Amino acid sequence: MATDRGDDGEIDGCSIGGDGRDHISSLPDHLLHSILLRLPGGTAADAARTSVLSRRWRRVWAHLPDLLFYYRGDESDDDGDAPPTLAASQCGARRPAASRVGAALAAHTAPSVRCLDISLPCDSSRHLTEGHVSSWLRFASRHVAGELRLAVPPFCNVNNEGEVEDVILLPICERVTSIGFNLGGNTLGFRPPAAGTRELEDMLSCRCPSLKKLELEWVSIALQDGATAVLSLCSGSLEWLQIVAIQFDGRLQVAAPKLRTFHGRIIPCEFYMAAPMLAEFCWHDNNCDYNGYHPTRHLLAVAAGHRLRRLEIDASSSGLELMRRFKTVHELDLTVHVTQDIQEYARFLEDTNILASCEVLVVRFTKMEHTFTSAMLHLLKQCARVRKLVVQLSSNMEGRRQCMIHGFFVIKFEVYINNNKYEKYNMNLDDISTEY
Amino acid sequence: MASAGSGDEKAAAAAMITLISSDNEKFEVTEATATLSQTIRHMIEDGCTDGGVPLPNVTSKILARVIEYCKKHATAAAGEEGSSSSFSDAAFLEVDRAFLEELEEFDDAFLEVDRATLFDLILAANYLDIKGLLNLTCQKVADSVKGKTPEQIREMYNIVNDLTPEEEAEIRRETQWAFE
Repeated sequence: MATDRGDDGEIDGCSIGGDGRDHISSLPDHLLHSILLRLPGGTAADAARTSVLSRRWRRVWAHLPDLLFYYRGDESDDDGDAPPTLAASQCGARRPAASRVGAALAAHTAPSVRCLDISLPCDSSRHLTEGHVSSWLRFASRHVAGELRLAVPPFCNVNNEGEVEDVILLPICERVTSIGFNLGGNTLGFRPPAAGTRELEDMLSCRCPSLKKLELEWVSIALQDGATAVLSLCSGSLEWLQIVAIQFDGRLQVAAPKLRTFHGRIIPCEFYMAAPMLAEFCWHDNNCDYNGYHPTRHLLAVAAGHRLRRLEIDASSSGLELMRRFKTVHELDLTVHVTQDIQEYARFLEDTNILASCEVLVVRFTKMEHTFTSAMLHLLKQCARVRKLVVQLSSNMEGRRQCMIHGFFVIKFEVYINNNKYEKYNMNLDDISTEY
Repeated sequence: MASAGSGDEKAAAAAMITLISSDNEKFEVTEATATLSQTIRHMIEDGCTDGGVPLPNVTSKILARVIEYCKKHATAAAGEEGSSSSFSDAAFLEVDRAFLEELEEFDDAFLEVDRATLFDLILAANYLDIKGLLNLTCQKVADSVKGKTPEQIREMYNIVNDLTPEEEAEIRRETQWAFE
C-alpha cells in the first residue's frame, strides 16, 4: 500500500508527490479536525479557509470541536499570516472582529463544542457591544461542553446617573467545566434568583453545575434589582478558582467543598472563602498594601492546623500575615521585593522572623537592594525543616548569570539541604553569591 | 519468599507482548513499549493478549515504524517517572533538557517518510490510540500547508477540486468571515 518512491520524500515541497492518491481527504473527519486544529494560528478562521478545497472539505470545519478566535491588535492584519491568495477579494468591506465571530458561530453546525475561546484586541472595543458578548454566551450555553474562555476589551458605558448600562449576564451553562473571563473591567451581572430561593445562594451551582475551574480577571460585578450586596459562589464541583482584579462593592462569598487551588490578586472587596480541601493558595498584592491580605476584609475559613501543599505569597507585611494562618506548609513560595530604603529592609527582616514550617522553600527576588546573602541566610534561619531550596533572581539584580525563561531574565538554582547541615547551605550560598 | 518476590518483579519487567500485523508478521515487544498504545493497554488489562494481539488495520511496515516510535518514547516515559518531582518547574535540570533534545531529534528524523507512510502512521496512531504519535504526525501535516494557497494544497495532496465555480463562490460567501 505504502510506497517508498524517492520523489515523495519531501512533504514540505510543492512537488506532486507519491502515488497520486488523495490520502488526506480520505481521513475520517475527526482526524482532519486534529490536523486543522494544529494549523499555524490554530483558529477557526484558519480551519474554515480549507472549505474551498473541495466538496469533501466544505463542511469539515463546521464540525470542529474547538473554536478559537484570536484577533490581535490592528484590525488590518489580525488574521496573522494568511497568504494573500487566501484573503478576501473585497478587503475594503471587512467587518469588525466581533461580527466575524458571530458569523462563524452562526455557520458552525456541531451540536457540541469542547472549547470556545474568544480573544479580542483592545482596538476592537468601539465595535463591541454587550449584544455580541451575550450572543456568544448564549451559544456557549447551548453548545459548550468543556471550556469557555472570553477575553474582551472594556466597552461598558456608564450613563449619566453613573449606572452601568451594559451588563453581561451569565446564562445557564450546564455542561461547561471551565470558565475563564477576562472582561477588561466590563461588568458581569447576576440576576437575583427565582423567587423562593434564599439570597444568591447556589448561584454558581445552579448555572454551571459541572464547573471545575473558574478564572475571573478584570471583572466588575453588579447585582441587579436591588439584591443584597452579597454574591455567593457556592459550588459543589469547583476545584480551581482564580480571581484577579475584581471590582465589587459588596461581599464575595465562596463556599466550595472541593476547591483545591486558589489564586488571588488585587481583591479589594470583602472576600470570604470556605474551602476545607484547599491545598494550594496563592495571594499577591502587586507591591501595594491596599491590595494585600487584610484579616478583617478577607476571611478564610480553614480548620486550625490546616496543612497546605503550597503557599505562594509576597514577603510583605500583609502577605506574611496571611502566612501566619498556616503553621505548616509543604512548599512555601515567597516573592521578595525590597528597595534600598533601610526601614523597608528592617521591616522585611522583622516580618520574616517567623516563617511557616516548610520542606521546600522557593524565594523569588524581584528586587533586593541589600546584601543578598544576608537576606537569604536570614530566611533560612527561620526554616529549620527545609530540604530543598530554590532561589530565583530577576535580571535587575546585578552581576548574575542570566537565562531566558518565559520572556523574563531569571537565574535560578537549587540547593538541597540534608540533615540541616548549616555549613552546607552556608557554603552553597557563598558559592552562589560569588559564582553568579 | 524474597526470591519469589524478585522473580515476579523480573517477570513483570520482562513481560513481552506479541503484536501481529495485518500481513501476519509477529513482533515481540515489552509491555512498557506496547502500553504506549491505549488500545493495547486496555487489551492487556482485560487479559486478552495471550497468543498475541492481532492488529488487522496495521501492515508490518507501518507496525515496525510504530514500534520504533514507542520504544524510544517508552524509555522517555520511564525516565520522567524516575525523576518525579513535586516541583512545577524542576524540568530545568540539564539532564532533562539534553534528553528532550535527543527525543526531538528522534521525532524529526522519524517524520522523514513519504506521504503515504505519513498518512498510514496517522491512521495507525489513531487506531492504536497513541496520543504522542498522533500529535506528531498531524502536526507534520498541518505545518506542511503553512502559507500555502488552496491551489497549492490541492496540488500537494492530490485533492481534486470538484466544486463548480458557482459552488466555490458560494462557499467563499459563506466563509467570508474567515477570509476577512
